Amino acid sequence: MKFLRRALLAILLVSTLGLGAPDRFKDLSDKFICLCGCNMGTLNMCVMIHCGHAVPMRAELKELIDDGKSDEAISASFVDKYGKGVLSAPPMSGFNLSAWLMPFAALAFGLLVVIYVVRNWKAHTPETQTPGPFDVKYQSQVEEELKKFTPED
Amino acid sequence: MAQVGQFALALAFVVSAYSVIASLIGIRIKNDKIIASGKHAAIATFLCITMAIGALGYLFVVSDFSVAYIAGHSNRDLPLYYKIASIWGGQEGSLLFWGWLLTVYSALVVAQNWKKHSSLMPYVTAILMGTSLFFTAMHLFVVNPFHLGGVVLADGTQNLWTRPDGAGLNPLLQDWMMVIHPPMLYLGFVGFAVPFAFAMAALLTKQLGDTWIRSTRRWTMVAWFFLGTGIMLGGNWAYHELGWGGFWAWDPVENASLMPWLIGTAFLHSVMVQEKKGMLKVWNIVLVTMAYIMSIVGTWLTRSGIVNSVHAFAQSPVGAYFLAFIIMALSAALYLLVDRLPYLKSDNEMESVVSRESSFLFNNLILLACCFAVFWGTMFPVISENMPKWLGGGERITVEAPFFNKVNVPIAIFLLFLTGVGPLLAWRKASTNSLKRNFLIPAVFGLGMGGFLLVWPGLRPWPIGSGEFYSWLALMMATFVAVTIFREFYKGARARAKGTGENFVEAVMNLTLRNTRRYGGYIVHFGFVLLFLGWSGQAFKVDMAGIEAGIGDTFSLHQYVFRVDDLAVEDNPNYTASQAKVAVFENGRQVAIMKPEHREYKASNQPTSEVSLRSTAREDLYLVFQGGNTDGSKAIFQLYLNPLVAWVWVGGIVLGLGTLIALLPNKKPTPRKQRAIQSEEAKEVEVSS
Repeated sequence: MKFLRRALLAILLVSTLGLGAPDRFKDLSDKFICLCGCNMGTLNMCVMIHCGHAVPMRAELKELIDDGKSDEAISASFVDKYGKGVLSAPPMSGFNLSAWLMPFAALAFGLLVVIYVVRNWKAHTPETQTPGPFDVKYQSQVEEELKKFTPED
Repeated sequence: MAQVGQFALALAFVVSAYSVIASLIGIRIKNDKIIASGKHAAIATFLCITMAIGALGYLFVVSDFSVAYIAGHSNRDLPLYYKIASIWGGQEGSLLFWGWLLTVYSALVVAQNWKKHSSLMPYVTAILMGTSLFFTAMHLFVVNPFHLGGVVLADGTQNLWTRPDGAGLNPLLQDWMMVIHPPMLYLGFVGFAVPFAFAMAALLTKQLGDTWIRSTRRWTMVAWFFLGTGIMLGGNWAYHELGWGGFWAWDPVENASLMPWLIGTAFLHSVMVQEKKGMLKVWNIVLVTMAYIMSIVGTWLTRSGIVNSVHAFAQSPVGAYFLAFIIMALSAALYLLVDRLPYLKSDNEMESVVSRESSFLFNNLILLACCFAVFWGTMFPVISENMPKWLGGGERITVEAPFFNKVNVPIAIFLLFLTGVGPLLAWRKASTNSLKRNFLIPAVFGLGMGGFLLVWPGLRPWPIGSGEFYSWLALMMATFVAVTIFREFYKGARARAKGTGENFVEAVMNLTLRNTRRYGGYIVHFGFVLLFLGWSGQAFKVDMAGIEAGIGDTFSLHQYVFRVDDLAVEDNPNYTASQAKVAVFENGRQVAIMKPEHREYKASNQPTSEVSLRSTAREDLYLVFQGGNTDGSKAIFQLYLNPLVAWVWVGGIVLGLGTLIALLPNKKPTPRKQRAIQSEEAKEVEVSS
């Protein structure tokens, strides 16, 4: 009961926190990396208190947000100043679009291969007899038996 | 002692080369004595590398700074356990440690399997020792940990010197987790060499039945267990040591460990199809080869300097050698596989798309897609930089966590769904009735959870961002999978309890021990569910940065109020630590004292933050002491509130326990008990159908 209560509380908390307003500064900080060479990742993640790059970049980002710039305008401004390498993810244009498309293209290709393999296998399987009333009655029972008494699966 | 280490390495090189040659010649001329000498040489290689790593450990313990590696990775005041852990703290030592683990595995495999699989073992020995030869050559000629420190003078002579003290171990590595995380990870990486060796031996001998699969399944599970444990420990280390409030940043080194783990997971599922149905024989060889190759690729990625990483070792010449080894091993494996295709025909055909076999195929597809997405993202900066300008390349593009999360999270949630579906499908063909019977209740619970989250607490997954939506979806799927697992345990234990008179808890225990692989697997799946529960909280992480506070000052986040009670400085020979004592109040009641630290390590002159954590099932409070403000009057803190993180670690433990259970041999029931259980289970089936 204690476990269930805790789990419920945890889920409740998650749900409640989700109601908060989006933090635009945090979201945008995730779109750019810190260029100090710490390899820690995004602007959000650089933990160096007096970092010569993260601190002024965060200030610059805050200023652009306060000036009412759109997300796109802020990205463009950062790319102009620091190059495309400042973006934490490849831009969705030109060759860089392939970064986003390739994983899903590979998944789709894999799916086609799996479907082909399954169909091919099925095509080679000799037609089984139409199940009679006995088979239908006991089919599910046999499945359960097989599942339960299979020594290792 | 450096000379002893050097001699041991040289001897290991000769002995491992002899082991390869003797095994191959012995097979060729069918001479058992020569084959046996190859086996003995494999064990001798283990002894030689053990002597080398012992020598390196000794040099660390006595702080012999005449050796460049010791001077670069230790200092006199380093505690003894960190001195020993420094063996794998840098490029040279960690490669030697890797090579040593390979010889440990090799010696164990040879000792355990020589009589059981006498025809395969000479090939297995040759392949394992071939890998060992490569590593020993690297230790000896490319990244030798026993090189003496000094400078080469203009006339070509070397001026050797001994430093009074070493540069110290990287402060980020001075953590108890670093004492166990790398060994676990390496045991995982290296472990995949064993199934690869058996697979290649099976191809070479054309003994492509189930023997190699049965001999290596447990070895694969051992490697998978260690790699998974290493990944979890690494995540925990990153969480409490790096101070950015997260545990997984999709860093290339993290990705390098995840890729072989994903492929190993795929193999552990598809191997069941070969055991049960004699299908997917080619695919299993491909998976075993890929798991081995990816574990070497990971090493190449992080040690060649080709990608930037928070963990990466300095750029070194090892990259080219590793690449050559990878190409050679992959080409040989592919050639053998193609050559032996006629021997790898399936014993059975697929009867239905809705069956356990096909669910494993889809599971493999998703795992490999995930692996490819990780590989592609990790390599994309290199690809984009080397692509011609007219194709839009020529500039190094950064690929960080936001990319990996966007691509991999939906794939992972689908994988979670398959985790629930797969075990409930029957082999060969699942009937509509059994689908209804098995899936109706879990689906109702899953959808119920989704509805509950939408309606009662008011979680709206659509207005803010994908994180909230994925968390909602993951919690729904996790409920679905958890219910399928509990039902499996419940149904099995109820039948057993009725048949044997055992109480329910005893029945669950005995049920699990009677079929460890099946029920251990369910426990692993439940661990996976808990991991998703922990991950789903990450979308709701909140933080406060740049909090300046002096003694007596307070700050608050959600229902918590923090009061700085003390700021102090502690000095010891290894580092100077600024410490804060912060009292935490929840709704006016004190619930914790947190003590974050900011350290300055003396030998390396590097700062680190020692995070203070208050962890509960509901959330973690994560307090970082970043240092003092400019006039030194106040401390600067960063505070995170991380919902559900504890479930990630609980999930990792459950996953590990499940794997260990699956590794146990099945407990044999007494014939009387067996009859009673079967009778009750038959009645259960009658009732449920």
